[in-house]
Amino acid sequence: MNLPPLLEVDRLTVTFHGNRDVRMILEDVSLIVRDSESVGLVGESGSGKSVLLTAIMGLLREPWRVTAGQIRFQGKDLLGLDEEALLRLRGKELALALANPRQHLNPIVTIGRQLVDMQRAHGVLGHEAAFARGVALLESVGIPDPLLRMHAYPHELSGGMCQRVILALAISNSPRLLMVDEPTNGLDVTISVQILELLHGAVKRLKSGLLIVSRDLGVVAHYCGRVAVMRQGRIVEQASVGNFFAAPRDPYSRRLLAAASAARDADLTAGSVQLLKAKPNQICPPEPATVLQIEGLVKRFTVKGGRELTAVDGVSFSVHRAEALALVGESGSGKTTVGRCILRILEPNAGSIRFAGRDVTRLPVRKFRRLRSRVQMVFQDPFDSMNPRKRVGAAVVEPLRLTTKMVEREIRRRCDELFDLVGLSREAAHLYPHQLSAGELQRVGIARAIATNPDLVIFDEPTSSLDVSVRADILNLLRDLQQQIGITYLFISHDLTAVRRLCHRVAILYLGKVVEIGETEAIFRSPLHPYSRALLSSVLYPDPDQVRAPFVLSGEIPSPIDLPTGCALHTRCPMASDVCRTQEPAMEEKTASRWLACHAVPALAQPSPTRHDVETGSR
Amino acid sequence: MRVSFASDLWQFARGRPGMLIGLCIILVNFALALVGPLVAPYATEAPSSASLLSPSVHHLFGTDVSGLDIFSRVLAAPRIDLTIALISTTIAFAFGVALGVVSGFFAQAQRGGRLVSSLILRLADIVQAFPVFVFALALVGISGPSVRTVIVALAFLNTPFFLRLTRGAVLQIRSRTFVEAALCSGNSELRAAFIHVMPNAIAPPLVHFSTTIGFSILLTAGLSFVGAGVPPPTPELGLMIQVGAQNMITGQWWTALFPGVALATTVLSFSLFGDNLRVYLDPTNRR
Amino acid sequence: MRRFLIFAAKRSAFVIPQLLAVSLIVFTLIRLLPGDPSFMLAGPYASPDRIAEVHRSLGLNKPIVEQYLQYLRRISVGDFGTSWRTSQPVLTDIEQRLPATLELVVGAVVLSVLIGVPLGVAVANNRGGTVDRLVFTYGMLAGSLPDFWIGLVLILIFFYALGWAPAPVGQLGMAVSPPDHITGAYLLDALLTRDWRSFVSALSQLVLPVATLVLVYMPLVLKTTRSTMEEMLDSNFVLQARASGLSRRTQLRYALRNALPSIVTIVGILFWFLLGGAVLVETIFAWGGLGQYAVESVVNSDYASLQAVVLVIAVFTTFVFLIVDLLYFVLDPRITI
Repeated sequence: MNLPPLLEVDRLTVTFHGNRDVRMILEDVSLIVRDSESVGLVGESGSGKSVLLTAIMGLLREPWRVTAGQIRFQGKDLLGLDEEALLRLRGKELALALANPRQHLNPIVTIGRQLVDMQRAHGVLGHEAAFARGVALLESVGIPDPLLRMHAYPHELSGGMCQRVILALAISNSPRLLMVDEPTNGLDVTISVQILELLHGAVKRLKSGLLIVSRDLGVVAHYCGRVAVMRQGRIVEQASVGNFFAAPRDPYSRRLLAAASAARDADLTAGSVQLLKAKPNQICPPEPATVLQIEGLVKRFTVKGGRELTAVDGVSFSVHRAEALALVGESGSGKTTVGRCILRILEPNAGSIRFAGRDVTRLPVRKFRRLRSRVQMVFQDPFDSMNPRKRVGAAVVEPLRLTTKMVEREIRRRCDELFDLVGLSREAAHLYPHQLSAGELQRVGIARAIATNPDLVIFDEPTSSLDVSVRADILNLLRDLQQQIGITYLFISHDLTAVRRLCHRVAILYLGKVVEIGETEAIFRSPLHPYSRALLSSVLYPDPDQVRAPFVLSGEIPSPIDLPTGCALHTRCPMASDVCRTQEPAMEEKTASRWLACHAVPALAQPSPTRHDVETGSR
Repeated sequence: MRVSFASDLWQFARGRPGMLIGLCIILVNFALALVGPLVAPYATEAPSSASLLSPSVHHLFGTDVSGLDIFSRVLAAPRIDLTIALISTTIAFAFGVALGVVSGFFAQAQRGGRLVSSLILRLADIVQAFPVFVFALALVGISGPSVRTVIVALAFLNTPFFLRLTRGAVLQIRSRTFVEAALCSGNSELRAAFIHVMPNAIAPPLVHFSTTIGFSILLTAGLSFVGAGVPPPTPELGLMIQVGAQNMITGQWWTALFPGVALATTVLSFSLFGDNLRVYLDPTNRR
Repeated sequence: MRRFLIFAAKRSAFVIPQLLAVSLIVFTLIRLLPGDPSFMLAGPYASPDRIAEVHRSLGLNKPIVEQYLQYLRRISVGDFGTSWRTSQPVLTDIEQRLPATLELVVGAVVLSVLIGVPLGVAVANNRGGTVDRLVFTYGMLAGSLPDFWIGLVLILIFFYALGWAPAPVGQLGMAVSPPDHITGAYLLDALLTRDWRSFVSALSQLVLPVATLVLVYMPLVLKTTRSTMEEMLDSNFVLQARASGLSRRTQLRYALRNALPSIVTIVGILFWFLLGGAVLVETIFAWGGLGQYAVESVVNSDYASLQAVVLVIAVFTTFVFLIVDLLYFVLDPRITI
C-alpha cells in the first residue's frame, strides 16, 4: 500500500492564547482516516473534537493557534497552504458539515441560492446547471418537493431538513473526505436514524472517507469501522469498532461505554461493569395509591396567523405512589406541555388533573401556589434553570421560604440535609451556579425539587444536556433517592436508555396523544404500537453485534397545527389502512396491563419479535 | 472564592487606558461640581475685567464679551450640568427600568398582563416619535426656562430608552427556565419579575446610565445655547458658547472654544467609561 | 409580493393611532399653560377682537373632548393658526421653511450613508489595522462632540482663518437672489431652472452645515455598520461558508446582506437624530429652516407656531419609521406578518 492515507493528523497540538492565560486545547493528537473508511471520533464536551475538525480545515483563527504537528491530506501538507489554496480544497475534496445545522445556513438567502453558490465556487458554470444539480442533490438527501424547497429559507425548514441541506451542501462536489460534526444533535430519534442512513448511503456511493464526531457511542457502533476516543484534548484510545466495543482498554473508554449501556441495573463502579441480576420492579415496587391522575388533558396554543396548535390532545394516565412513570416522545408529542400543565405554568384547555384524588384543574393560580410545595420540577439545562446571581444554597431553600413557615435555623439544617442527600459538599451551598459543573448543578436542581418533600417530582429531560458519564451518575442518584425517600417521579424524556434504567412504567406519546402505555421492560422488549416499534428500534445501542430490524416510519413528523385526521400516525405508518385515516383509535388493553391505541394491532396478539435482548448477556 | 466586583473591575480597567482616562475626567468633574465655584480665581457671575481679553496668565481662558473670566466659569459649570444630568438620569432610570421590567415580563402573558405590557410599549413609542431636542424645546418653551424644567424634560425624554433596553433584556431572560423554576418555587409573578429577573436584566440600562449622563449634558448645553435652558448668567457651558458664538466668528476664538472643549471632554469621558463598562459586563466579550 | 402588501397594510394601519396619539400629546402640551391659552396663541400684541377670535377657534368653552375633535379637524386641513410674529398662517411659514430643512437633513443622511457604510464594511473586513483604530477613535470622539460647537469651530477654521467657505448667512450668499420657486429647495430649484449662479452659491452654502452634521452624526452609521458586520463575519453561517470554500467576496456578500436590516434601522434613527440636530445647526448658520423657526418660536413664546412645528416633525418621524419597518420586512424574510 504505497498510497498515503486520505487524512493523517500527526501529533497535532493546538493552544489557545487568551487575555490572561494560555491553554492547551489539543495535545499530541494523531489520527488516520483511510480511503472509503468511516472513523468515529467520540468524546464528551470540552474534549476538543470540534476544534480538531476546525484545525483540519484550516479554519482556526486567533487566539487559537497550531503550535506543533502536521496535517496531511492525500499526502499534501495542509498547514503550509495559504488561504487561496485552502479555499480550493474546502468544499471540494475536503468537506465539513458543522453541528447545529440551522445556525450554519445563511438565514436571509434561499436554500437554492446557497446550493448554487456552493457549486459555482468550485467550478460548476452557469446558474441553470447549478440550480438543476441543486434540485437533484436535495432529492438525493431525501427532501420532498425539492424544487419547492429551493426557494425556501432556512427558518422555514425543520431541524431534520436543515441537516439534510447541510449534508447536501457537503456532498455537492463529491468530496474525498467528509467530516461531520454531531449530525444528530437536537434531532428526534426517528429522524436521526433517517439522517444516519442517508449519510451512510452517500458515503458508500461516493466511496469517500468519513470522519464523524459524536457524543453518542451508539452512532459509532453502527456506522463506523474504527473509533477514536478523545478526552481533554488527547486521544486516549484508537481501535477498530469490533475490538473497542468488545473490550475497551483505556479506563475512561470503559467508563464511557458502561455509562452508555442500556442495562437497567448496571453497577458502575470504576473499572468494571456488572449487571445486577435483579428483575425489574423488584428494587422499589410502587404502591397502589395514586398520586397523580390525568384525564383527557387538552392544551392548545394560538400561533401567529390565528391558527391553532394542538400540543396535547386528550392525554390520560395515572402515577402511583413511589413509582417512576416515563412520558416518552419526540418533538410535537406534547410531553413537555403535559408537565407544564400539571405545574400550572400553562393553563390546560380541557381535562382534569387530580392530586391524590383532589381535583386541582380549575383552581385559581393564587390558590395553587400554596400547593407548590407538593409538586416540583427538575429542568433540562442546569445552567439555564438556576438564577446566575443567586447562590445555589439560597435557590435550593427558596421553596421552603416561600411555601412553609420554617424558621431560619430549621431551613439551614434542611439545606445541609439536602446537600448531603444529593451527594454534594455542604460548602457548595455558598457557591454561584457558574462555579459548579453541569452534573453538580443538576444535583442542586434535584435538591431544590425535593426540598419541600413533594408528593410528585416532574423531571423535564433532566439528562439530555449532560454528558454520558454524568448522566449515569444522576440516574443512579435518582434511583437511590427513590429507594431512600420513596418519591414519586414523572419522568419526561426522549432519552430511552435513561427511561429504561429508571422507570417502572412508560407512556409513549405521539402528536399529543398516548399511543401505548405499560411496563417498561415489557414495552422495550416487545413494543406493539407501530410508533413504539419505530421509536424503540431507532435507539442505537453501543453494541455493533446487536441485530437491528429497524422499523422505519417514512417522512417527517406532521405539524401540530395541521393534525392528521383519524389516527395521527397514518401519514407515516406502513400498516395504515382506510379505517386509520378516518377513525381515531381508542385506548384498549391489548394484553395484560398494556394499553394501546391502534387499529392494526388486534387484542391479545402475539408480540412480534423485533429485538435481540441485551439483558441476556453480561460483559 | 468569588473575587469582589470592585477589584475585578479594577483589574479590567487597568488594561484599558480609555476607561481609566474616562474615569479620571469623571472624577475631576465630580470634584469640580463640589468645589468648583470655591476654587475659581474670579467671580463667576460678575464681571472681573475688561471684555474680550485673550488668554493670558491672568485669565487662562480669556474673558468674554461681558468681562467674565471664562476659566472660572468653566470650573463652576460642572455643578449645574452634573446636577441636572444626574437627577434627570436617575429619575429616567428608575421609571424606565421599572416599566421595562413589567412590560417585558408580561409581554407573553395572559390577556390582562399582555395588554398592560403593550400599552407601556406603545406609550414609549409615542414619546419617541418626537426627536428629543425638539420635544425638550417644546417642553421648555411651555413652562419657561429653568433648571427644574430642564430636569423634568430630560427625565421624561430619557425614560423610553431605559424602558426599551430593560424590556429587551427582560424578554431574553423571561424565556430562561430559571424564571419558571422561580414560579414553581412559589414566587408570584411580580416577585419573580423584580427579585429574579430584574437583577439579571439591569446590566444594559446600567451601562446606558453613563452614556445618558453625557448625552444629558450635551442636551442641556444645546438648550441653553438657544436660550431655552438654564437662565443666564448661570455658568453653564452651552450658555458660554452662545455668548461667545458671535465673537468666535469675528476672530475671538477663545470665547467659545474653551467651553466647547470642556463640554466635549466631559461628555467623552462618560461615553468612554460607559462603553468600556459595557464590554466588561458583556459575557461574550470577556476572557 | 402578496406578503408584503398584507404587512404594509397592517403596519400602515398602525400609523393612524400613532398620529392620533401624537396629535393628542401636542394638543395637551398647549393646555399645560396656566391661564387662557388664547392669550398665548394670539400673542402679546393682539387686539381684544383677535383674542376673542382665537378663543372661539379653540372652542375653550366646550368640553375638552370636543376641543380635541375641533383641533383634529383643523389640523387635518392644515389650519395651524396664525403666527403673531410673522403675521402669516403658520402653515405658510412651515411651507416656506420645510424645504430648507429637508435639504440639510437629506443631504446629511445621504452623505453619512455613502461614507459610513462602505467605511464600516472595510473596517470590519480589516480588523485591527490602523484604519480600524483611527475609525474607532473618531467614532468615540464624534459621539461626544456638541454639534453646535463643531459648527462654530468649522466656521472659525474654514471661513475666518482659511477663507475657503462662505459666510454663514443662510442658504444663499448675500448678493445672490433665489431661483424660481418650484419645490422651495433652493439647490433643487436652481438645478431645475438651470440658474447656475444660484446653484453654485446654494451648494457652497450647504457645505459647512452639512459637514457639521455629517461629522457629528455619521459615526452612528459607521459604528453600527462595523459592529453588525463584525458580528456577521463571526457568525456560524459565515464559518460554514468558509468551510465550504466560498470566496472572501461571497462571505462578505453574505455578511453584508444579513447586516442590511440593522443598517436600514440605524439610518432611520439617524433621521431622528438629525431632525433634532438640524435645529441647532440651522441657528448657527442662519439657515431659515424649520429648526430655526422652532427656536424663534420658543424664545418669543409664539405657541401657535411651536405647536405646529412639533407636530409636523413628529408626523414626519412617524412616516420615516414606517418606511424603515417596511424596508426591514423586505430585507429580512424571517419577519412574520
